[in-house]
Amino acid sequence: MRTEPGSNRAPERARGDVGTIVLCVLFVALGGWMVAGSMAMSPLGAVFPRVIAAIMIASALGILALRALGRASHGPAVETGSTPRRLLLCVVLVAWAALMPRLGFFATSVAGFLAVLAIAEYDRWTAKRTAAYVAAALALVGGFWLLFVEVLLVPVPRGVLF
Amino acid sequence: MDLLPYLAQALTPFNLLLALGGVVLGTLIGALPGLSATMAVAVLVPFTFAMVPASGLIALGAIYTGAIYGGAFAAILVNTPGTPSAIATTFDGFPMAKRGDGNLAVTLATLGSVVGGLVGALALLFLSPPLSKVALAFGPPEYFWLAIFGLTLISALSQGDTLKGILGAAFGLFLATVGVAVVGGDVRYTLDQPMLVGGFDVIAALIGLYCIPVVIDLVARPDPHLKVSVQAGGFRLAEAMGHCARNWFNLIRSSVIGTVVGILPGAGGSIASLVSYSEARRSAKHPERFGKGEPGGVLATESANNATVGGGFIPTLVLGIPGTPPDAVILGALLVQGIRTGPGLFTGQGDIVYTFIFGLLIATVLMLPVGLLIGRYAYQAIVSIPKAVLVPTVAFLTIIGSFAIHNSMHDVYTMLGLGFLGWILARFGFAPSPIVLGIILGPIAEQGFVQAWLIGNAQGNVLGMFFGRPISLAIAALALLTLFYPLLTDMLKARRARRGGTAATPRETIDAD
Repeated sequence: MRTEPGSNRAPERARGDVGTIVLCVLFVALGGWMVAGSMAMSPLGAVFPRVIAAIMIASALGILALRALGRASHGPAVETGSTPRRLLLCVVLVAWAALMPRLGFFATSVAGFLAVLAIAEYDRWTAKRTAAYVAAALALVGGFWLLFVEVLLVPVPRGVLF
Repeated sequence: MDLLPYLAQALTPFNLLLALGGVVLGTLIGALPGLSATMAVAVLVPFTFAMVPASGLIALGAIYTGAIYGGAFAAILVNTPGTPSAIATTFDGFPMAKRGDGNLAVTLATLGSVVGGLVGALALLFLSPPLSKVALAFGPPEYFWLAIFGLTLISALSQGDTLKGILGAAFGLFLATVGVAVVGGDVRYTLDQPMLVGGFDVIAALIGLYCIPVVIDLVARPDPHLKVSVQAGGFRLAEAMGHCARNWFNLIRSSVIGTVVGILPGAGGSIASLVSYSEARRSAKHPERFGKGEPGGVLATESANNATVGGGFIPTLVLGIPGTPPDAVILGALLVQGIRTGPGLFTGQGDIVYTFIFGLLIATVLMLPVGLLIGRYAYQAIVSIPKAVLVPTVAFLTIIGSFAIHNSMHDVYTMLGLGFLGWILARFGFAPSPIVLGIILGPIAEQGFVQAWLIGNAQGNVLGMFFGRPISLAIAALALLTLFYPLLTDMLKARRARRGGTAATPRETIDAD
């Protein structure tokens, strides 16, 4: 659950408002694109997307209008925390998915697991902790790999490694 | 109807093992702060694809009910709700733990969850068949309005900003239109990409929208290293039973509230537990004790949130409209298994449904020993799992799980793409549940809308088709009431505040379970 903090969060809120405005403008554009795309459809196929587009545009414009009138609800506070770690995690997840068919499921998953683990770790790295984490990565990835490949018979990508 | 054969099917060793394993796994995931019941179900759905539908459903139902219950551990012992459903459990559970009654609070939460879960599951067993007969009278406009009702309810309740909820639902409906149209066969919004012709896979979308934002936000903060206060004195089962006996009406009322809230499309355990808690406090002899460690508070919230499990399955199975956010995930899993939910399910595939319901009842009963043992002996170990290991494990499960849907990397890309998008949208107040419900309900809403429109056109009375049928009108009225209810309450609050000279308090925001 997100809670509205009572502390002074004006800059974050302003950033949140700008983000909301940008998203609403994008939703209006998406609604317009949906209507334009529906022109090439049969009447049966077009009627529902047009209704959705109308709702999308109306609600996005409604949010923008409420903001312009200064009557917008504040909504959830913008999350704090480490943005670089968040972005790094996104990059690792994309790389994990992109490399899996090329390198193979097991190898990519062990590497991806350890990379995400490194991003999520805030405490000091010691030799004992590192060894425990590598063992955990091998055990968890290996266990699930065996479960999926041998028990559930899922043909996981093999790639150039394994 | 003779139900005993279905009970026997649910009692096979494999199904019993699934029920037990599901409850244990669900309780463990629910007990970890930050991981919700919806996420637990979403991330574990792919494991059930290899099972027969009834067994898969039993596993998912057990995970779901276990996760809802597991949230109570963290709420009571570390003052952090393990799942949003357990928010109200912190109100009295943690004060009890602080004064040395944590073990009693855990036992009360377990008993409350079992009673609530049983009431919800029995309602599912006995209410669904007659309701499915009523549902046979539903035509396309009724299904359209039901889908709209579900969307308006979650839009109004999910985030505290109705317009953003509606916009999120519209975005989900748009995602549902991508690919070949359910009526007419048009290929829509595919950007000439062959992978989009089949549309976005529902399960991949659900895993992405519910799990990836959680994983992204988990890495942003250090591990809180939660410490659990050691509670001496055993389970205190007899003492807890005594509290249950004294609170029997509170227990039953909260279970019924939970069941009813679960039946409402889209509303889940967090809403049920808050409603039942305020009702328990309002009607208590000593309302001043609530919030200071009142056993009745723990019983009210825990019985209500677990009752939503059975209650939520009623619209999910009878109408194909998910009752709670985890039901949306389970509905997606059923679609993948080729099961068409709706009134015909109880007559055409009664063996699956009744076996599952008995499995859910068994899983709920199993919660009693599992919960007591985990609470007593394993919780310290669970909460000590480093976040650094938890995050990559969840990330790994999302990737392998979405791959396993069709053994295709396309589903992984869909999952990640929608997950990143969901995280961005969530940062600006667009909750995932309206988007997910839009994706799930899109085809139902479109089919109902287009068929009703066609019939209305043929009869020369389109408006009459949508607004002239009594059941349709009733559902449409409910949808409108739901949509404008937050606005009305805000206006009333503002008026009261103006009269009282104080500022109106903002509405509470509630995330998915």
